Amino acid sequence: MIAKTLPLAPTAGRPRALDIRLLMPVLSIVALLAAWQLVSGRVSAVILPAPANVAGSLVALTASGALPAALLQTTIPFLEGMVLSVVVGIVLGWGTGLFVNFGRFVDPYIFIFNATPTIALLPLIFVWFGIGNAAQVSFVFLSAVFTMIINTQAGVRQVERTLVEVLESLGANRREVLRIGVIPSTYPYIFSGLRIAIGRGVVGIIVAQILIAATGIGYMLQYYGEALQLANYFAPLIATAVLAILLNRGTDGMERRLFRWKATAF
Amino acid sequence: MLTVVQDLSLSVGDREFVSVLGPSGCGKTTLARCVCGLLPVARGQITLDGVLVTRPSPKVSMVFQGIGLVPWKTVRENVGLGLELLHHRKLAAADREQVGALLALVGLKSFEDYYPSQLSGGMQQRVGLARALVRHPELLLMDEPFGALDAQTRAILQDELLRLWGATGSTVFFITHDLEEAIYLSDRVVVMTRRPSRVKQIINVPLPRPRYSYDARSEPEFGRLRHEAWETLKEEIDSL
Repeated sequence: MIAKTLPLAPTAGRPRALDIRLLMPVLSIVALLAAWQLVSGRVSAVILPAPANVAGSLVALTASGALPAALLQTTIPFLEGMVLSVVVGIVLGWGTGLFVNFGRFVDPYIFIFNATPTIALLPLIFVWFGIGNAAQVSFVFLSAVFTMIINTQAGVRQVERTLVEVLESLGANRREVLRIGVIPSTYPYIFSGLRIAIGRGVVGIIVAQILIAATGIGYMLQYYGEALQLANYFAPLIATAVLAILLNRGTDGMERRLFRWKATAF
Repeated sequence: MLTVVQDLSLSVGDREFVSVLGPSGCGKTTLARCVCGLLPVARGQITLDGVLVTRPSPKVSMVFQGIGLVPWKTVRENVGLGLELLHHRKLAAADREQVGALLALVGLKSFEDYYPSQLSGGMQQRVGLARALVRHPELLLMDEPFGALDAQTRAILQDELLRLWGATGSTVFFITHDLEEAIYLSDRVVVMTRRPSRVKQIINVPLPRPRYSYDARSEPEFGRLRHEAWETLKEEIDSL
């Protein structure tokens, strides 16, 4: 065992006027905008529109209601697919992890599907779910669920043996070992799975809307992209990026709140 | 199947402090897990108060070298677990009082809301000790509990253990590979052979108690016992 000694008071300190943790990302964005402005001044707007034009597009598309509507059309099937994949992923991850033979039975399919690009299943999705909401949800689901299963399962399989033995030595029955020891120790794994699954799910919904449903942000990207209206094309792209960042921040915040007991190095 | 412990016969008396000393890999941990009821014995039997041990008993508490605190529970919750799993119900007010008393006894009252990762190794093992003792065990099983600690912390916890043992009156069955630790703590030291291990010799330790109240380690008798134990143990290590 390694003695992990942490300072007893939180090290975060009080936020100062110029906090480097905030400064670095802001600097990064400013640098990007500057470089963008510089390059766009030298090339045609068809190749790279100026940041100001993209900002104008963002405002116009928001004011016309087109962008908010598309965001909604994208967010709803995305969330449906994510909720489904998180629930199914956790249940199957626990199931395959806890019941070893069930795991052996199911594992081959999990690894085959995980290694299959979701896009390769497109014909099947067409045939089975059509081109509507169900097809989009199932595309998101298939993009995200295997990450959730594999991570949850890994969590069950990494449970510390000493911890289980200690609980048993104290008289815990199987249900108590699960409730007190095994299930909670999968939570950090579930969260790191969730982080990856959200990324895959966002990709999934955009791809599904470009290739299957012709709706939402995906369709907007395709439409303006093919029309070579790059200023209008960048607007939904930025909106999607912001959405993804917000989701990530949300997960981060939940993680920090839930796992205060962890001694982290960074 | 690997035969780890064979033809081992040993009885431990009420309120006695007995150490098992043996070369590493001789099956000491296996023995502890069998006595605790975590591991079934292939042949022979282990009895506690005349009753066959087949599963962990509420009369026994075990302290592990790996400690095995629940990382997402606070110090107080970890100690409370000792009672929660004894009674299979949520803690009552009286239970919480007991937990508080035990935390005070091991000197961790002001750390009760800390998580294990915020404590040093020595403090973590104090929590492990409190979690075991809050159950008022008749038998306290200890499997190299101080093996991972630095020398100073180990010495402090050894004294602490003797003090707690005096206060609780449990029987202690202590597994160690540390010869001085075995002599300092015990009434009897059981020296094991290498695997498959059996009892090689039992050394009585007539040093007066309480030993922490004077420097028991510097007694000539301590030196003589250490020499005797080392000679016995060396044969086993040499012939590995």
